[in-house]
Amino acid sequence: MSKRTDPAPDDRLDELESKRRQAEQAGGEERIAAQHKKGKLTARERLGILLDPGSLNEIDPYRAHRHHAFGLDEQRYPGDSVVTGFGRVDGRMLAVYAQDFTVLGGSFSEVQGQKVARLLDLALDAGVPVVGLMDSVGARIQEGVYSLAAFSELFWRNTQASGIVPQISVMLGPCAGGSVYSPGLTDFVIMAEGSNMFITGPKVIETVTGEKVGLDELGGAGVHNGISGVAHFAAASEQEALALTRKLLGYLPANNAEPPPRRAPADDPQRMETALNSLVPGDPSEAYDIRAVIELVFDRGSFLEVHAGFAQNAVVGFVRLHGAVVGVLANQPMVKAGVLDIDASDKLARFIRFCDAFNIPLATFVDTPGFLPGVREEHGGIIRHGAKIVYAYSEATVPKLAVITRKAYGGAYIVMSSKYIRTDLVYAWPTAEIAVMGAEGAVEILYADKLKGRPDKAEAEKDYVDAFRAEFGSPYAAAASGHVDDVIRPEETRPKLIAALELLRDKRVPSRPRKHGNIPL
Amino acid sequence: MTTLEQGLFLSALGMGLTFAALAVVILLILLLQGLFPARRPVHKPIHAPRYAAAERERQAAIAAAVWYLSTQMQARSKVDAALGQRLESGPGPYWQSSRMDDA
Repeated sequence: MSKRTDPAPDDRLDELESKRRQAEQAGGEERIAAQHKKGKLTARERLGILLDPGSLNEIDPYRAHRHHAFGLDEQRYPGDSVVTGFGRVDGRMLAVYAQDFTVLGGSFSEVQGQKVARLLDLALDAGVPVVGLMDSVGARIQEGVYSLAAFSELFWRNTQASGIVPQISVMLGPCAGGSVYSPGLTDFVIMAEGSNMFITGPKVIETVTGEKVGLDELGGAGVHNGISGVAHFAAASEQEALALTRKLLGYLPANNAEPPPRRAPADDPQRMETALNSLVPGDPSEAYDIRAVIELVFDRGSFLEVHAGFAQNAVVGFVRLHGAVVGVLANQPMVKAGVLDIDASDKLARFIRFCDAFNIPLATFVDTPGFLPGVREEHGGIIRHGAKIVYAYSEATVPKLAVITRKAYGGAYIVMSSKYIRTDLVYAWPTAEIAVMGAEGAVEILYADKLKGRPDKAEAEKDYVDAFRAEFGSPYAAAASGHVDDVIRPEETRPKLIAALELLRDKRVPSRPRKHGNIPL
Repeated sequence: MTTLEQGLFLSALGMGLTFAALAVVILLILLLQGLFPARRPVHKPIHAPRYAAAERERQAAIAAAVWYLSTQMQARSKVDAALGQRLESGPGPYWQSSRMDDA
């Protein structure tokens, strides 16, 4: 046996280890310490929390920028300002990238764009979800138009991937200027406390419009979760945001050709909750929390509410029904009596489209007095926004189930998953009222002439209202004419929905060839 | 005192005396009940054979078991025993082939 004399391979391994350590150090110890001092984690620490232990396979850790202007030639770091790779969450594969604030503030460079674009290409080819952890000051100004071109490459790919693989953006720091369009194009945006997003910052706003506004007030997690609806989830910390991301991924299929991930059923399919029988108050003007209905009907503890802080008069989220993922939508009588307005329309339509794109069946709970009347709504385009709900439901080919718990009036009844827009099965509770409009409003129109000038107007009006309610105040008239499929005891809702979902498990709907529809955006 | 007032006074006096007398009678009844409490009827124990009691208990237990089983059976027959099974297996080839068509 000859003795090994060439030490080169070991040297090369040492060199590799040294380069790996250098890449892992990113912007250096000082900048890592500064990041920690702000209470923030580094890109790799974040990926360590997000992914299953040891599952990260990094891609392009040695890519470096090629620019020289404004001192960039002295600030060249292996991997540049983003960590890209693939790994696992609960054993399921996904593509991930994390902007590294310790490298030039995580600024979006040509290399960052190329690395993320390559990752998206891989994710699309492989059919796996993409998660981006965002923490960046914005475009790398020193690179000039190169960074803008890189942005566009990313936006284009975000658009190409839309509806094919789920895309999630987790905001863990600033995200300003053009950068915001990448998360804006993805399916879900999760914002941690302290992160912010805006197109133009407070200084520019003050210069242009004279308005004085703080960072959080302009584009903090509270604003985007509660007012703008840009974000879908709020988290109190980075760790919570990453845990939420893992949880959300548990409801999503890897791509549009897969069914959503099933779990072994942990709840009795026959479970009947008698509490549901008395949950809807007898007085139609009294409110109740539709989330309590959702919690009681679906698998215990499975409800993950989406957009919880935005347009709270509608509720959307993911649930499990006998282990199968379902997208649940509902009007919320606790907020604005469950009326549909512009924001609620956008919220419902977007969620329906996501579920349909990723083979997630829809279950809708209806209790709405109608669309919100008012000049502000009309001028804001409630017609256009409300039409999005009709469009989204009509376009959706996944199994569609609906339960009318109480009010289902007029146009709002039509758009909220009625049979007319091809909902597969519509159930009504005995408390359902299915009518063109509310009794009081209908009487005012129908009997305006008869009531005019009568001395006993109030009494006569009440009689007419009672008569109208007797006709439409129960679901049986609608059931007799086939507008609902069955009237069920509220406690039966769970087994009924499970059976309906079983029937529709393999539902397929033929579609006519077209380039794409024209949703009223 | 007018005739009307006299009439009213005498009526009130008469009613008062009547209710007072009634109260005295009630008190007397209560007093006598306290002094001479009523005797409870004495039930003679039936000395039926011991085996008969045991047999009755056994028959009652069987009847209860039969009733319980029949109600359970009735309840079972009203629910779909296979509910959820089709969901547990995930989508079938009919759905899978529709995905191929879409592609």
